[in-house]
Amino acid sequence: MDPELQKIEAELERMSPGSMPEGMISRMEAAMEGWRDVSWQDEEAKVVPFPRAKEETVPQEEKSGRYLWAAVAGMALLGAVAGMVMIPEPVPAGIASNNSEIQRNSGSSGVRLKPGAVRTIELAPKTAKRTIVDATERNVIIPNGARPLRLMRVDLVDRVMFSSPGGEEFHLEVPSVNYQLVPAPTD
Amino acid sequence: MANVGIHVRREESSYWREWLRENGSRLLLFARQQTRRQEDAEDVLQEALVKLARKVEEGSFVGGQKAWMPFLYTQIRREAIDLGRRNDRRKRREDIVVEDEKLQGGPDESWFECAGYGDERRVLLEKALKELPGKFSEVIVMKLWGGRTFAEIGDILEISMNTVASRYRYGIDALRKNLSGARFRGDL
Repeated sequence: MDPELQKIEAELERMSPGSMPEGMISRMEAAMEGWRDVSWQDEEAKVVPFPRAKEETVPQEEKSGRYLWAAVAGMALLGAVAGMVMIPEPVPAGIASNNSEIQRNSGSSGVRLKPGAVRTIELAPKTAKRTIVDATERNVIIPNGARPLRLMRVDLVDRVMFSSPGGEEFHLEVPSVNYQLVPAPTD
Repeated sequence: MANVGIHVRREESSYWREWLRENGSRLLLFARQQTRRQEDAEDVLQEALVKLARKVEEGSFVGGQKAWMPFLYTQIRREAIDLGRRNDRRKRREDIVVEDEKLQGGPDESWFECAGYGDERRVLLEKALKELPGKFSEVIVMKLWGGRTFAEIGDILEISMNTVASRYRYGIDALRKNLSGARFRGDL
């Protein structure tokens, strides 16, 4: 190397990097000791690539369809059970009178149906849809030594429409609440 | 058994502290070179150190203690890139802050300690180093104050050793020209 450049190099080498203050050493040491507290914050979870990497490019319809049909199957089962239990024939007069009699005798408030008063129907799911009704920002959480995270509340409604062999339509709505932690930008 | 656990923990703790005392300043310098603000430098350094501690304690770190520094240089650089991407949304606002700092003479974020000779010269060298494009200054910082070889720097930056060497020479030459200009302007 050029002697003049070597001179600059030597000059630079004589400069010492500013030492790490004791307070910073303590903070770094504490963070290194406490890695277990933030181990859930994996690299994969921190940044969600968009668009996704090539190896993950399963056709979206195929992917979501699989989950959709799993959800639909679950809903169908739920619907069938609900259909068995909750759809009685119009209550005959005998039941009503029996019921009041039973209530009088036992003090129970339960409803008893005569065998045969319940019929089973088969329901086929026709459509299933998940809708985000509302999303609200909640508190910012700062885990020990980790980046700040914002708590998000997401209100969802799953709507499934079933149809019976007779052409009747049954609509099922299942509201749910989901909480998610997302990285919060800080100044 | 609990006592044994605490004992080991304390030993590890003092070990990390001693290790940081010995190597922390070099890593902090690199983190400062990779980021725009002191707070960001501390953040990326901490992220990198936590990842190292985790790997070491889990037993998944490959390469032994000698490989810690190259791992940390790589990790600091990655964290800084990630941080830069996350901060893009705030770039305009930060630019305004940077402009304000320039107008006010900038924050006192000296990278180096006084070298024992004319401090004016140190300030000029540091300023020139800060003004170099990052791809040159990162090589100079890792080579001169990190003690890394061109081959190791090439591995960290994922570029060839020849490219590292030419960036180093170009960077030093740019510093020389900058200092010559300062002499010409009468700053020295």
